[in-house]
Amino acid sequence: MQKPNVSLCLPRFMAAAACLALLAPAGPVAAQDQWPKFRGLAAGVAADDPSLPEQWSDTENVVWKTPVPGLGWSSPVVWDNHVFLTSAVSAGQEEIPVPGLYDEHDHIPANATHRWVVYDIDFETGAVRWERELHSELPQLRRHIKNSYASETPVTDGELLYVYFGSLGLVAALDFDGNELWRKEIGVFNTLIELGTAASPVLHGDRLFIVNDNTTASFMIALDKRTGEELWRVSREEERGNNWSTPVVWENRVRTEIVTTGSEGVRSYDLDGALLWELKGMSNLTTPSPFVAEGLVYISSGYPGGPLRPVYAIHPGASGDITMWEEDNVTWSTRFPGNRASSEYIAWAYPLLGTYNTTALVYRGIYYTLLDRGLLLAHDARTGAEVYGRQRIRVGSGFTASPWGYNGKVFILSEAGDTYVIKAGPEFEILGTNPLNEMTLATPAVVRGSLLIRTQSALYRIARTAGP
Amino acid sequence: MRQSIASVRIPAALLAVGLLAAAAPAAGQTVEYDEVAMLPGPADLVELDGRRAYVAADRTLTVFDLADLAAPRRHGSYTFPEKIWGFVVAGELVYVAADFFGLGILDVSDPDAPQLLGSSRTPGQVKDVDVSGTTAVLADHMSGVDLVDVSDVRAPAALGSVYLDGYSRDVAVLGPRAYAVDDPSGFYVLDLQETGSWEPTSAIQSADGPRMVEVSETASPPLAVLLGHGTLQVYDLSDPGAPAYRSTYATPGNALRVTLDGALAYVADGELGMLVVGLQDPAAPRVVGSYRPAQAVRDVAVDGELALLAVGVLPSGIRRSMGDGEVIVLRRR
Repeated sequence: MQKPNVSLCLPRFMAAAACLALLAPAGPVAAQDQWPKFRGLAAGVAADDPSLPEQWSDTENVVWKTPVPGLGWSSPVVWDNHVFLTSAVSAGQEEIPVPGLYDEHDHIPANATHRWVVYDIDFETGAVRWERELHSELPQLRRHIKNSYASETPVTDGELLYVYFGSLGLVAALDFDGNELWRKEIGVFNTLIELGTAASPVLHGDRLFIVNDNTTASFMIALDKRTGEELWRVSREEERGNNWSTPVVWENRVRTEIVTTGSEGVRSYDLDGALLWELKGMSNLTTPSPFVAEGLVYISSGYPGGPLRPVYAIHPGASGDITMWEEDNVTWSTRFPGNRASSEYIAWAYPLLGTYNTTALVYRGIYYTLLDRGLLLAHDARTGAEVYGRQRIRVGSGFTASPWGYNGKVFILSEAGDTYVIKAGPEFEILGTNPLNEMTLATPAVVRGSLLIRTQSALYRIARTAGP
Repeated sequence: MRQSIASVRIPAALLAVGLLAAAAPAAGQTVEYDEVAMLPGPADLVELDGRRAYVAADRTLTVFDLADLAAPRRHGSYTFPEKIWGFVVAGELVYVAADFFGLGILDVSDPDAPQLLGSSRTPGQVKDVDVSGTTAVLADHMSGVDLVDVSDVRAPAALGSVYLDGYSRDVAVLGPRAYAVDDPSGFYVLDLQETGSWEPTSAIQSADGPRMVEVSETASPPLAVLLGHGTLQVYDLSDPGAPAYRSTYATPGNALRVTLDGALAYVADGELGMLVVGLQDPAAPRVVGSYRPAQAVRDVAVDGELALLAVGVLPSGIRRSMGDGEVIVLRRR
């Protein structure tokens, strides 16, 4: 069992009282106080809470720091006092991840046997409650040097934890004591140029949905979350295997649907896998995940080397093909982000606003775009009207983690481990920078006055250890 | 220590018959070259400054003296911590785009012992460099175009950067302007005198996968040539702030690199050798010369009557260093 670095809980004498209060047993937790999936229940937005931290470092406002073996860029998920995390632990030395955007670092093989592990970490203390090894082998797939063999974020319904490792083709359900209730093999498939896998599973009702776009035979499946039984499967025309985005279940005023993105197009299915609508015209690599806010579903993809890097905001109720642009027949004469457009079901769209890795954030009516090379833009989330154009956050940092918001601030975590605190609203202003001094790609969890940030080697619980 | 490399011509001589046969110009071609020497590799990139040759291979830049073509001499070399993506020679200084190391400025006044005078780290991989007066203009994969004050070469100072929409690939300077390209489609003009406002003064988003940009002031009209997807994309710079597209020429060998000499474009055309394309009429490029050695041509440099060809195995992907190759020295008939 891992021992947390408890000394970090008491960075200063004066903080001791507050820290002890944080360690006090928690009472019943409301559903909205959980963080059960990638980006939480509100697409990266947490309810305002004056106890949430706005300043920290690797020693300041650290409630605990727990070392996490191996490498995994999945995000932590939280339910009650359980913080779940996945990792792939090599028995040997693997190539060290290289932050940034660059040419010539791709598809590396594993050097040694890996263990695919799930951790349950005590929210209060940082102690590892249990760890469960689901499999061990020499990874069959290569991966991009910035990817990991544990990049899919697990999801929980408060009773079971559902874990998916695309690199193993393994889906499993664990109870909160770490007992494995079922597992299902869905196949190990390569993605584009062996970059590895990343799309996370999503839950709705009794079903667990997984999108696996690969170079062999792309598909989406619905599993019975109680048994792992495959309920249905649809083939997806995504032959290039260049999609790493997590689908979203969209409960809108018209129906409930599963919105998936892919480089060949956006497709929305009903809960039984029937295609409702589709939209072609995506970037040739798709990593940002669709998400719901302001009554719209937001779609983007933006490989910088592609001619079309769109953002779409889509109304509920679409049917058929609602394509606005197709990559093959566009020659853009305008510069970034291009001219705003709209159609019957597309509230607004830009041809060149999409991001490469980060998913955008809608917070307090503004759509924030975090370009991977460290620029932030803001648009009206309902209309797409520009609030402000490109603002440089920091020259030199790459950005992969998606932004999040609370307390009137937008938080932006760089690959260098620096979180930039941006004033939310129509004026761009950097309020501060919080360093952790280690590579970070995973999007944090925000829950009950705490921020859970995963770095390359550790999980931090950040909270105000002194009064505001 | 200087080193004669005349011996390397012996194996080259064995190939001479075949080379001459392959290199015979086609009818109507007017620019003809003969092989006069070879320089040992490895070799990825070449530049020529009078009778001095510069050869980059992976992380190392090596200087050669071509004063006596019968006996070229290898001078010294300098090895950077990171790969060399591009470099430009300016008198006794060589400005080197050295990947994550950034900009390196070498003093080659003593060619036997190139010295690093100064360097400037930029946010990402530096892909290429050109110099305008005391400003170095860098293509940086992360930040776009970076500008560095090199008035004190021992202490280069960052001036600012210009974001490009795609992946920044190359820059070239003509007078007070810099021309930059990004992948997949951008061609930008920057006014280097507009200090404080580094936004491009012109942006064209219809280029075809440009990976290189070269400019020629001595052509009439002045020209910019973009290289991408095996094509030369020719722009008229009569109005240097507003490039006017004139034509696209698809080379037969999937062009890898290009350099301009007046209105002639010298193309490293892979396995089809070196191609010389006349751009006197920018709207109608025409082949005016070629040279086809036994190995694929990776890069080409021209100065006066001489040309250098970096030859070897064709690189895969984005200019990966293959660790092999050599340099053929050609002289124009």
